[in-house]
Amino acid sequence: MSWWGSDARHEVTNEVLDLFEEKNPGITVVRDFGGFDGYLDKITTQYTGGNSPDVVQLYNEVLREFASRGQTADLNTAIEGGELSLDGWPDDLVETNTIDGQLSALPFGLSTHAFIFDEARSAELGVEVPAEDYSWDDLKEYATAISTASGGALYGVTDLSHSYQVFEVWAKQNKEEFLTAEGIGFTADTLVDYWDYWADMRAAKAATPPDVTSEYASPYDAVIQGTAASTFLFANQYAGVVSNSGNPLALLRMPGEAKNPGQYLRTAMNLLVSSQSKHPAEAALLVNFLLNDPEANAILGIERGVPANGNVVKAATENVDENNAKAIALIESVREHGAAAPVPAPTGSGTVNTLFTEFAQQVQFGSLSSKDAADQFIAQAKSELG
Amino acid sequence: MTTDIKIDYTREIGVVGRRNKAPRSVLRHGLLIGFGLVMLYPLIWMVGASFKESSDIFTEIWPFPDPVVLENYERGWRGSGVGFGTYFLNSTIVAVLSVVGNLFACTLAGYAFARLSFKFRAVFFACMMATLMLPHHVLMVPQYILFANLGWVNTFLPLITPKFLAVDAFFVFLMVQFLRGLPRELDEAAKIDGAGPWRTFWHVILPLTLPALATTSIFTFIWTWNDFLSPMIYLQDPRTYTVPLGLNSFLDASGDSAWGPMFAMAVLSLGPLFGFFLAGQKYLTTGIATTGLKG
Amino acid sequence: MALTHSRPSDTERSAPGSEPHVVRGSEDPRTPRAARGLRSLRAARFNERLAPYLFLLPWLIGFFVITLGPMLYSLYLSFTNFSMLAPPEWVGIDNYIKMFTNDPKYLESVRVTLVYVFVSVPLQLAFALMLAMVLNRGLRGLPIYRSIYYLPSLIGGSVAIAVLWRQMFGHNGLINQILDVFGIEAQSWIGNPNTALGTLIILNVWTFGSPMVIFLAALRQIPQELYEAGAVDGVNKRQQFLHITLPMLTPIVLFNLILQLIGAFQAFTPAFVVSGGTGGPVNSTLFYTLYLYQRGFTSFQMGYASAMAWVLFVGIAVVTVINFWFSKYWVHYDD
Repeated sequence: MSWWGSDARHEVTNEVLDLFEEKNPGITVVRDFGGFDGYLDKITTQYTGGNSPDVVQLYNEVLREFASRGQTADLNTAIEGGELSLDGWPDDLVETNTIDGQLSALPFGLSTHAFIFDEARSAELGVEVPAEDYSWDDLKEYATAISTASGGALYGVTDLSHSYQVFEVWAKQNKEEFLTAEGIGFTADTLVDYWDYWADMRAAKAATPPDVTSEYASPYDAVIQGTAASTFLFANQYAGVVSNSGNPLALLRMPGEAKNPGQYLRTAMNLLVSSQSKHPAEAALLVNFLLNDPEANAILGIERGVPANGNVVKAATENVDENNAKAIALIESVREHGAAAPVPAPTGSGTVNTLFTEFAQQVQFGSLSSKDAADQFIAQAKSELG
Repeated sequence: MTTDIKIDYTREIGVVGRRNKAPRSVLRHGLLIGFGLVMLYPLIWMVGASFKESSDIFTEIWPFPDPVVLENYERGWRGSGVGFGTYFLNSTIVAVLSVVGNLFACTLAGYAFARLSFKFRAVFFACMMATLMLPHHVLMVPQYILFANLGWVNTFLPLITPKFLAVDAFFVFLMVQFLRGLPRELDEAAKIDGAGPWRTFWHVILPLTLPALATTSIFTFIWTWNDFLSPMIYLQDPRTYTVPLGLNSFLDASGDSAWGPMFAMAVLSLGPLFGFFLAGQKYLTTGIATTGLKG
Repeated sequence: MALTHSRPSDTERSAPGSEPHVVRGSEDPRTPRAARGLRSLRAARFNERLAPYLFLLPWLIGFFVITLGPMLYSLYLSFTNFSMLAPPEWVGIDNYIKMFTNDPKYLESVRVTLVYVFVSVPLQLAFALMLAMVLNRGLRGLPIYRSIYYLPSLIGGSVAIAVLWRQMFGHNGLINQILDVFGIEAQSWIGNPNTALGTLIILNVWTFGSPMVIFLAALRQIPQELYEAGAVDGVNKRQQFLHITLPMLTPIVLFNLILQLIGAFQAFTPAFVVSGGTGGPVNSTLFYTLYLYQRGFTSFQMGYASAMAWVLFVGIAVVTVINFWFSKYWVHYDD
């Protein structure tokens, strides 16, 4: 089995795999793990060499690339064979990963977008912090107040005009989609509005200037390092970010959710069985154990997000610390009051995501107007999606 | 063997005619030290970071830790499951065998290209240079297929065997250029004394190329030790991981990276590299005097 | 490339005229040459013909088994739409056509790479040579300096660099703290598309240790007698450098030049690590191989990536051949 992650994830995963071996004498799980860098290269190269791992952890954006080329085993076979059970699984999540009529993978943890801000610094500067049900305008106000009060030493929020994931929420709040099965799911106006919103923030020095923005691969690093007071991230990252930051950070849902929610429960990562596997039954048993066994999930906790199987959520979340509890509460609030998950992204979506960032950066640096950038992006994205 | 070659391993040779000028020497040392500090600042920062609490690493600009914590080293050494002891051992095995392989194969090939004449020499030389010019990212996949078919995945063989087959054209070319700089008369003298190509190579040429051999060893060791891409693809069992794979497993693009332990282990992994460099550089500075030759 | 290896001196070498340079024992008491039979002479001649191939044997095996096959296979792939997850399909020269006519990002990556190569290589080599010359003098504490200057090269490609570079050139970095003293406004050097490439060039120059070590080794190989002879003739230091050191060093200058050029054309790690694999901001550090990598491994277009690799291959080959061609005029070989 292959997965990527950091220290903490390797530790719990290894522990669970030991437990699996103990419970299934005769099956040994070879663990191949590493950081995220180079993970995809490794998996694809191994696939090409006919040497892929039996069980693979894979992220959403590339799942379709593998599934549509017949590289994932149909998990329905394992369900019929009795190795895997879907007891406790929400239908829409199973549907999301059904590609070309085959169940290509199952979500290994769920998460959702979130907003964090530095409570301590805000209080120091005497700025009123955003409350539940705050709007995008409230965010603008907060961010501007932070920048003004700190005399420009602290930016209010990191510029996220280049994040297609944040834009996706924005689009959903406007009852549109980022991508649909057919292609582009939003109007040019919506995108122009989104980019203009951030342009205003930059002009007011409320958001980070472009050079500072592009310095951070992960926007939350800007908050950790005290460059910006707030940013967006995924809820399951919250506890880790807090532990790296010196200051206490508050967690909220996305802005503008009150009226028309755009946030949804998103698959953090998937678990699949390779179609090259020589032991598909044993592989399915392992998948079943990782996703459906309460004891396993008690160990795994929410390292990869909240389990999708409702029956094991309790086991996974029972012993979490305070910060993870906050994240879980937020995820559960979206489960109750959130938007529906989007359909599987079409092939070529990876390139479109990159294009989004590139055009947004050109707007940030002022080499293109929002209008021109939006038009050009939509035209190029359409040609990439065919 | 009667070629009159004296090799003096003890003498630090300087340029002839140097006079001692104290003020200039102080100035020169001052400049060298100052410049060295600029060069070293990032490293000092890294060592400092490895002793910091993880919340201080990015928030404190000053490189010196306060308070000094050793936790990163303890946590890091345990690694993720297997532990860095194993990773260090694996890296050492791979790096040492690679050095042996490159010394063996690249020296032989370099000598053939530089000193012997044979059919197709120009063609082969061009081929050798050509292998340097194709980005290895596209060769990675076909080579993986090859080694996978040989059943070598998950062993050190795909990492070491190529070294014994002089696949690192860099070092072949390095040897060629060094050997071509050596006076021709040496070979001639050996030949006249009845030495064949093998004896000439072994007794005359090799001792004279100690600096080049040292260079090859140092670079091979360092580059193999730091190599990330090949071990990542070929080694799938953590028990066979090398140090860079262990370092990488601290970092996750989409979550909380364990920076503290990563820096701690990165600092430790510099140890063997630096040690090898120190040991090797002695031979870089070995004065070689080829006496008996008129300049 | 073959040019340098057709040596006019090959024929001259056997002429007796080249020998008087060598002062050696004219008679060797230990090898009674007359006693040698015809058989051993023949064996020796056979040996001499076979020997080159024996020396070359490991390389030959390596080349034909490990390198040539994958190279040819990647050439084949460059004419396909290989995704790595499905068998390749032949598409002719489509990949090559798209590269030059319908891929602005490709042309951008060529521009970025050319700037990087032609700025960073000369700078790095000049630096390396200069310090090698300084460190070659009989200075006290030499090994320490050598080690200090080599240290950065030890970590040049590691993930730690990403963080270090942010500490140096980020908007909160050391450089800005220094500039602040002079009242220059802070900016993020790695986040600005106009300066990001510059920081990578500095990174390359900073890791000048490898060519420096090679220069040092070469300096040590210059026969001391040349300087002694020069001293007798009363040459000064400048003449010594120009007429002895530099000419003797030229084969290694050529080596470093060619290898650093190739290395810079194929530079990948610095941009990958510092930009987090994106080549940003706004593609300003999109090195050729980084873009190739993105196409191959992120967009699943290994066919296109292979085509890019072969165009780069031809480009590097042309630059290398030109270098070898010109080397005739400035490289001094002792043969």
